[in-house]
Amino acid sequence: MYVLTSLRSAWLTFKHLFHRTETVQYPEQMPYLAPRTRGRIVLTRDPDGHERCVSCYLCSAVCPCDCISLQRTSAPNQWQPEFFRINFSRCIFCGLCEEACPTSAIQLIPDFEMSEYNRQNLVYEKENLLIAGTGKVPEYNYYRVAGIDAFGKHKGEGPAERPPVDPRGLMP
Amino acid sequence: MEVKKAQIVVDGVAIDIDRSNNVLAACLSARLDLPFFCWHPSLGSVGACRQCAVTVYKDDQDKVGQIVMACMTLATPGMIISLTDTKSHSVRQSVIELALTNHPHDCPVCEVGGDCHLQDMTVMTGHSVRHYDFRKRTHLNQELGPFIKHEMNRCISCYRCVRFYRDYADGTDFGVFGASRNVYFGRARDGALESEFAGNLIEVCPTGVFVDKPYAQRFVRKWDMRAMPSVCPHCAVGCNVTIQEREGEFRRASNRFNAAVNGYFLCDRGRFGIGFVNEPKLASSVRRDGLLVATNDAEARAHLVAILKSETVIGIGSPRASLESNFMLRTLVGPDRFYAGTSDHQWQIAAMAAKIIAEHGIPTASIVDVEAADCVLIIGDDPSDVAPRLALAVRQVAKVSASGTGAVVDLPDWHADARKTAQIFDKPSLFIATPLPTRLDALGADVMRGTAEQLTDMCAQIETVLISNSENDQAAELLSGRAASALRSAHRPVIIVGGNSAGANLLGLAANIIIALRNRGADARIIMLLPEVNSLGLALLQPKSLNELRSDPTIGRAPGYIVLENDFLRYLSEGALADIRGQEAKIAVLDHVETRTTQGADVTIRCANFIEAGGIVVSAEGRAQSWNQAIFSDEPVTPAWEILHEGGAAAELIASSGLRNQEAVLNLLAEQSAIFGACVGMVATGNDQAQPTPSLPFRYSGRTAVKAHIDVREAPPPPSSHPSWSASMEGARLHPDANIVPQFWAPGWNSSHALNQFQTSIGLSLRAGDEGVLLFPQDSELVRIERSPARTVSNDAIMFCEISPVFGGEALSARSAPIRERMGEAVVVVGNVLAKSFSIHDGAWVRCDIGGVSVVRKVLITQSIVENYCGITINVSDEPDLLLPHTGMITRITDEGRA
Amino acid sequence: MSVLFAFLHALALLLAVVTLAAFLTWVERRVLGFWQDRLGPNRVGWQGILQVAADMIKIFFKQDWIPGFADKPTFIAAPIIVLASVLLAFAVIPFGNGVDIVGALNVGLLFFLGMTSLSVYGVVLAGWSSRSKFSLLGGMRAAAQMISYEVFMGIAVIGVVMQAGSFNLEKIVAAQTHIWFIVPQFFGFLAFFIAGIAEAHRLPFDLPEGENELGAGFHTEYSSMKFGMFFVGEYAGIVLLSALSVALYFGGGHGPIFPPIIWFALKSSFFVIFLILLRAALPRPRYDQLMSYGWKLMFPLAIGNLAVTGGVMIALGQ
Repeated sequence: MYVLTSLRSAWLTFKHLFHRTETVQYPEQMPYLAPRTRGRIVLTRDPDGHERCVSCYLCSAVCPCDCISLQRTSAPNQWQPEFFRINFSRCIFCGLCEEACPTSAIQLIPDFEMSEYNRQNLVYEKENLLIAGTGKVPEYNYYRVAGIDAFGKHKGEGPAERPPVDPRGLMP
Repeated sequence: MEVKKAQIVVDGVAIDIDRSNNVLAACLSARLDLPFFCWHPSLGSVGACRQCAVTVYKDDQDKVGQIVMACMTLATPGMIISLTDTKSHSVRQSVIELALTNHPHDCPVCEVGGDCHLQDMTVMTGHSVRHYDFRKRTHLNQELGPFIKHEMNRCISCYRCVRFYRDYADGTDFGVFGASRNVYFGRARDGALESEFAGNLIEVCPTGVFVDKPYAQRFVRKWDMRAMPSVCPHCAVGCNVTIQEREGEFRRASNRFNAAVNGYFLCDRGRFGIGFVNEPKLASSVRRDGLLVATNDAEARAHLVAILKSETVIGIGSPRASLESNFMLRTLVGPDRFYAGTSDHQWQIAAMAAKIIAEHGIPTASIVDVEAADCVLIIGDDPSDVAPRLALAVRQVAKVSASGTGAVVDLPDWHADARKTAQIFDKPSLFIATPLPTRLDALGADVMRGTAEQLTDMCAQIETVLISNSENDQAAELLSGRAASALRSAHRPVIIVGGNSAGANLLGLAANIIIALRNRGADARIIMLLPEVNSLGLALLQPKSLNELRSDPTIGRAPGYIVLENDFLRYLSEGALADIRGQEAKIAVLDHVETRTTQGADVTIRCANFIEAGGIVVSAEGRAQSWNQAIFSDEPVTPAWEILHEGGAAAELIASSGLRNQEAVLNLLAEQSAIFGACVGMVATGNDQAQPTPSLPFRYSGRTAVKAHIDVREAPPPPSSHPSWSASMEGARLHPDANIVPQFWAPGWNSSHALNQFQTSIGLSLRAGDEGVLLFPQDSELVRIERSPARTVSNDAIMFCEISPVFGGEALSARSAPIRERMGEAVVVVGNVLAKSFSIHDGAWVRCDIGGVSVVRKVLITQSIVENYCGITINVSDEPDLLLPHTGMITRITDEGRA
Repeated sequence: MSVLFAFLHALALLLAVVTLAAFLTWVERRVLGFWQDRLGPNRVGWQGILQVAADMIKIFFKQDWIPGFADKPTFIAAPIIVLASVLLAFAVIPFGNGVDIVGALNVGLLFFLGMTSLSVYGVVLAGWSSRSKFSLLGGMRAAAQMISYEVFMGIAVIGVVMQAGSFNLEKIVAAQTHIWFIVPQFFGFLAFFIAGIAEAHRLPFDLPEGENELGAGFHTEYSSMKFGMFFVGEYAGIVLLSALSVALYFGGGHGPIFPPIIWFALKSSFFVIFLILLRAALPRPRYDQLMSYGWKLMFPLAIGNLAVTGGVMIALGQ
């Protein structure tokens, strides 16, 4: 019984000799990469051209290899990173940062060809990460829907906001 | 199920209750997850937010039940309730959904995100989908000063801020405006919050309306900061704080609950003054050709050794340095050459305090004792300035006493609104006798203004009345009579006494009253107001006064001065300074901040400040508390005692081995003075834990990137200075039952309310035990203090007394940037009679000539000050110490004269 | 002269076997690749044929590290024993056309069995001398497994010996001129072949290595060429097993048209490929399954085969 099932398994395996191989002969032959492929990480801008990153630290918190580090600027009421650093020599391209990002700022793009001879060159600063466009999410502008004053949007000017209350008013 | 007498049944499980507490507190004490907003363990219940709904069942047969608010329901034995039933669960879920209708979409750009009670409660109720589809109301923010940032959109109207600020801390400049959905919490107009307890709004607010402003400017999330338990260095109360840092930079200080010391609240001097550690620090330097030149530590230490080899070496101890450092200095120079680095007046006060506690066995009061006192007598100084957290406790006395009057019987402590109403019927049993006006006068206290002589007489009278046990009708006219009769009927009286204005003598007299009261059977206790964090610790090492230094003939030529974390040149009179210059003394200063003394020194050596190395201090209560190294930078800074030990060994003053660690130093100290025996155990390296406790939170991020721009290869974590702690994430993760807790953080409880999970019962001690050990047995034999002859002051001279303001009143807080913004102008407080005689008006400028020093101050006129007394603010930079109290003269100057 | 010639002959055969074993590593990876719908190593040289050379260069230049806690002389001796015993066994294989060294040795089959037993020592000593947990566990598994399976391997081949009437392998091959022994000795072959896989600790019976649970089993601590010797020894073992199966049961070099050496090579290649196919197809059994399979199934089978063979021979009056 063992022998027969073993031989059957062997025969099924043997038949694979005549199947088409799945291997893609990179780099002579370039593979197809879907737009959602998790490759190099970029920081995008919102439709108004401002940096989308609000330095909420969620990406660095969720990163399993702790390879994202940032610091919010000390300018009051300004939520932007003073520095934003990714150590790609540690990155495992898991995409959790992209998933955690509440503003769609951090995105993974289908570029994985990042080899360097010097490991130090794999440390990317904000200047290296920022791109000019909105990336995969064209519309979203976080500051328009947040409650704080930012980039010329004042209290009550957001699409889902009423004008500021007058606390001295007598109307109920 | 068998239900014991003091138990209730929650979802089929019996939990213990404290019979006087409410259901919410009982559930939280049992570590059950029940959401709440408006309830606060210290502020009590008002039942406003409707969040803590639970179902109560009549009996076993009742399957329907009734929804009640847990915070407003007294926990009665045998009660059957449910938290998990669908009915109360859906109520809680809808309530939080309503609370969130106008809450902005802000969490990523909110400093409180991840440290937010509202987030925790939302997750706890399971609310996730929003049904409200209309526009949100918005509010404009206010500018609330350098401590607090206002973001009013986030408000969920729980009213906790006003309840703390107005009802608990007695602040007046903050309140609630508007009506219905528009309520607005703020000031009448923009401006800094006046109360020195405003910083607590950050922790009281369940969401991000009030944000720590200095922290917001160097912001990182809670999970990205190392947290270490520490002790506030800004006054002798010794409040426990949690120090949080990232990558060697201090980020914020927050309250660390200690049931016996600070409870749930801190003052702003502590919370924001600790920022001084981020200001420029002293650099090690050596004087060459008359100029101080920055140098490396090794060279500076070589110079220290040279000075230690001088024929005479004089050590100047410090009230703000740790016990270890002071003791090491005393060991090096010998007890005969060990002097206190304080003014002579402060030395007398501290020495008297040490004597009263250590030799006369007078029991001291903790903050809890003050809050529970039924009669409080304040003599000499205003605790609001010297010990703000103590003043906050005194403010509660006025409220606590209400429940004991009988006006309303059996009113539970937590029933906040009812208590507030009951207060109307009562006058607090609070007596104040000081020369200068106090901020506690307004509490409805019985107030007397008196000179030093009048105050000493008053104390003596009270003692006499208490001993003689006679009703003195004549005395009833006076405060002494009223206070004596109130003290006589009190069970837990507390006397708060300070000697700044009226001399150290007053402390002894107050202690005698305590003895009289204790002999009558009352649990009377004393608190003595001391200026610096380790004032009592230094005094217990019995340093000599700086006055004796001047009169000591045995000091030869070119003596060496070793000055420990101290601006001691400030405390010398002109003559004494000239003497030191004449001696051609060599001065070595170990400090971490630049002072007048470091500028005049021959060698300055940078030593660790309180977050760079651990140490032990003794609070005014006689409680020894240890703090830990809280900041781990790439270049570790050595604590002063280690530098001294190294120098002493190199100069062959002490053996090079044997005092290598804190434990060895404290062992030697305990050998020489048995009262310090308890200190050894506080730093003992005998670690019963299998693994150290990690000081980094489990979600600390960026480890492999934060220094990658310098070198992509990661450096190993810094070494830990103590085996109980690891400087990294490695070790045994914090557990609510662990005996060391770096910060309060429990699953599902990310905000400061996680504390509930660490307490034995709500509002009571931590399960790990409270920090600190009282060094003195509280049941020793009491010995009366003999009254020393009072000073005689000529009647026509003006007596200047010290006002050390909350902000910048001691050595370090003035160095913190936000505190500097709040410090205000230096003033002289003048009575209206005196002002009239000098024809000066409020806001005028005067020159005060005090003991050979002239200073310029702005006049502040008050009604309530004793005749011929003036209060004058001290600790103004670029001024020598005024050596108060002292007589002096006021001269009016014009604006030109001022320039 | 003849001594020199014999020496050169032996050396040439040795090199051929070692090269073949090394080459087999490439063959295995390539063929495994195809069976798993991959390509396998195809970059170095034509179709990756120089991969062997690349691997050799690499393995020679690797750091040759002996752990400080190991028993050094034994640690070094172990791989030598394994490789040497396998290579020595090739001396008795009757390749035909005079390629063999002592194919006509009168105790040829016993010599093979002796050499196989000797290689157990190599594996056990490797596991023991490494002084690490995984190695020791691997070594102990190897000892139990190889000694158990050796028992019925010997019993299984007795059938062949009885029919051929000799331990001389050339005579055994000669005895198959009319009918290959696979026909009368089918069950004997089954037991022999399965025992052979276990002896060579090839998949699915590679429990001494068992990388999922033991790291790399008895050779966990080995590196560089010392590991290489185990590696080559294992592949030489595959060739040996294939060659012996051909010699004992598949008529050795017998076949039409081609000379015996070609037939021998072709038949051996079939078994080599079949062994690789087993690796691709079969999962590894649990250790207790391995033992009960050996003792409760294969051992009675081999005994039964022996009894039936003997009975039939008596009945036929041979």
